Amino acid sequence: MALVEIDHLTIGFDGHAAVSDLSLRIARGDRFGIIGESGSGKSLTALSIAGLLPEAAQVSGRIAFDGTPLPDNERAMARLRGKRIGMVFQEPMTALNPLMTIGEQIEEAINLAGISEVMPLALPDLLDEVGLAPGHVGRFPHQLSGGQRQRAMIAIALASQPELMIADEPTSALDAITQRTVLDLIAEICKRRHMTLLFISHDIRAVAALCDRVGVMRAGELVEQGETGDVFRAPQADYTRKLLAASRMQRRDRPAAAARVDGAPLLRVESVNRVYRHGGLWPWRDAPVRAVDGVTLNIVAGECVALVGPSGCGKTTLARMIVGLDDVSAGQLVFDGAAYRGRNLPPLLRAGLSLVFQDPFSSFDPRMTIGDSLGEPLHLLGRLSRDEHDARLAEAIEAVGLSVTMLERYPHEFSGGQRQRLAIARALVTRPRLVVLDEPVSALDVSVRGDVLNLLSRLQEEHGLTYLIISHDLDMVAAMADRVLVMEKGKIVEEGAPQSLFAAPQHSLTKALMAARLPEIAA
Amino acid sequence: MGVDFDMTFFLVRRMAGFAATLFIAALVIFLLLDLLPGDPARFILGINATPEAVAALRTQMGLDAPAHERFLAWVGGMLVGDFGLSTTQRLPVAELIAERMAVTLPLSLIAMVVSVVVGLPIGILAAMRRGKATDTALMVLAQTGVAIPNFWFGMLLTLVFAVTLRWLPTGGFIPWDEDAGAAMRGMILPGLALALPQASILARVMRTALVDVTEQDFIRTARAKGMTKSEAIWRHGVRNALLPVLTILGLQFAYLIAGTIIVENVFYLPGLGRLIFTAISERDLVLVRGATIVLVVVTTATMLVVDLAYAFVDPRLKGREA
Repeated sequence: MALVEIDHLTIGFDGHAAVSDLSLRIARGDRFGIIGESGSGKSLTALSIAGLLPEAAQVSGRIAFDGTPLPDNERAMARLRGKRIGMVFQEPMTALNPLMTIGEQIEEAINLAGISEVMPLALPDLLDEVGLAPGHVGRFPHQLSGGQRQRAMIAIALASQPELMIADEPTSALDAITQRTVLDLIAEICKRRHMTLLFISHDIRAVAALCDRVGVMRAGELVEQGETGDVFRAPQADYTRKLLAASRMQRRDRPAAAARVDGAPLLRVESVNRVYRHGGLWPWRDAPVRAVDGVTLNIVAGECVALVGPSGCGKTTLARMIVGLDDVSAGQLVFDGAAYRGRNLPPLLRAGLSLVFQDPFSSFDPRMTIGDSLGEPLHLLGRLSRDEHDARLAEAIEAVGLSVTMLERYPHEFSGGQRQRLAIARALVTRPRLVVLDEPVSALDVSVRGDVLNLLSRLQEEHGLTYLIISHDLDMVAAMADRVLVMEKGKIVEEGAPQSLFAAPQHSLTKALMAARLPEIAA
Repeated sequence: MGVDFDMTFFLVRRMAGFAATLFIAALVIFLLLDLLPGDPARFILGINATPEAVAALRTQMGLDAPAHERFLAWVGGMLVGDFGLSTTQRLPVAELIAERMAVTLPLSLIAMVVSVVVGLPIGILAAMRRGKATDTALMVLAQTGVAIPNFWFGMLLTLVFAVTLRWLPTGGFIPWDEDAGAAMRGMILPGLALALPQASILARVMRTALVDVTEQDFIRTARAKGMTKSEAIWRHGVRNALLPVLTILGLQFAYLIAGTIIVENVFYLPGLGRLIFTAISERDLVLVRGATIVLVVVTTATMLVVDLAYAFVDPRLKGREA
């Protein structure tokens, strides 16, 4: 008998089915992965097993845990998940109570489990199991790093010695190296405790590395399920094949790239420092933070340069100074022959530099039409005639493969992939020469990432753009970049063409980034 | 350099800020009243007084000295409890204010305690029953509470509890040292009248804050640990939701100290609001100045207490440079 049995599960909101007629079995000891894109219903399926669906959800079908249907009584359901199911969520910062120390929060989970027959787990043992130090007990969530918070979250999930652990996108809010260590930790704990795992992810490679069985969800339906090896070796559903193809990034073909690198630099970053001081009465108490520490680099017109490094290494700070959103503490920037220190970038020069943000959902004002948002950067060019203004908007939105009629609409009417296209259109509207892309695809579903990257390549060819891509996704960088800079603690520690750099990394950080890559799924 | 050190540092910073605010406020109050047209000495003596008499009174009142000396004398006097003599009543301002504070302060405290005891539980209950009939009923009640003017509610209370039932006095105030019990009884109805709108506002703020917190991920985590929804809200939600409520509480207390004049009139209470009103209409600038600075002290001190409470509730604020 399977530990989890789901038969004909349908979950609807206001009559729209978010999950329809889903059946699956998770046997004891299995590591089951559900792959799907945002909105595919994979998280709802997981929440329904724990009885945590939103109240507005209309549910039909049968879910049984260890042979018994889930109790209807709220208290009984709460106690069941407290004792037998552990859960790890995506964003560990918001999933932990900001006003309680992590020790208190783990302790609470231990008490709620109320184990009588087994020896209750002691807090120190739990901390040790998830790789936290005893000193972390008294810390509040904001005093920990993202990886440490997720470890605390895993400790909470393990506190009751659950039979089933549900991990819903547990690593997608973490940087590449932390992502890998947390995945390895989950795998190791499952093996040691013989625990059943339900792993929800949009990352097909993470599922392949962690799970022995896999289900693929699309638009609320389970389109395929089976042994991980079988499904990935011989996928039956078209959708699975598409996801597999999207996970294998092909290096784009740019024969002319090498020739361009000899030209004069478009952007020069000359010994730039950015120091943050803590305010306060005693400035000598805290050493100032060197977010960017003596960075020098050149970007030649037409090049695509990638800046990689773990979160907090200073790469976004550097980008903000380049596009004129922040000031350098020392050193200078030179764009197209004109020197500036950051915010003193003159408007006409600023029009030649654009920034595309990571999250297309929060980077548009929800109360402005797309046309108004796209038109805003045009004020940098001085007064344009109505016709010229409209022509610029049309040119930009058509360049990203969308239609002029969409300018009247509002951001919420677009999907994630469309919004990122619109963000790119907004960056192009001033006809810039350099575009800085801060994690341009990491918030997008795997299947649309390829489309957006192809779009970026095409735009670069057509408009002779220069790119600076900031990312921690080495596969994307390997596919896109002519040159890679590796950044750690504010300094550039290694530089080179992606093929040679990744084939023989010299610096320990580059090696760690390479080691954190999940293996590609064999074709 | 642990938490205690951070806490001391935080306290020192906040106290320094408190002192600086008071000094700036004193300076502004002094300059504003000094710049007002009209000579207090002439006002006291009337239009028919001889210039010699006015000049003599000016010297006696210290109005001849340069502005900075008068400011320092005023501030220095206040530090030792001397707020000057009221120009109309010829009594020490400190004494007048203290007398009125003996009414206003307990009245405000009663109103605060009642509004917290009534308002917060209503807000919590409404949030827990969100979208259900209880929630709707409670919020209609709260809306009504905000809409009813407190003087009208005061009159209603008098009609029921004083005139018809004769449980409590209709108004007036017996000093604490004569009969503390009677003084207390005189505070109950005006306290309730003041508490009604405050409790209604608190209930609404508490409900909104708690509903927002309930949507947060950590409530889901608490439920995943094995709590029911209401257990999770109670154990993890309420404390988080108290943060915005604290701010409102501080503002309400500051408002009550100065803003009770209408209710004071309804119940014939000799409170601070009526004192200030009279002082302004009689152009008693020394009294206005003294009473204003007292209000500034109370308001600033309340904000200080709110800040400290924040730091106590929210660990993220400790040691953060604000």
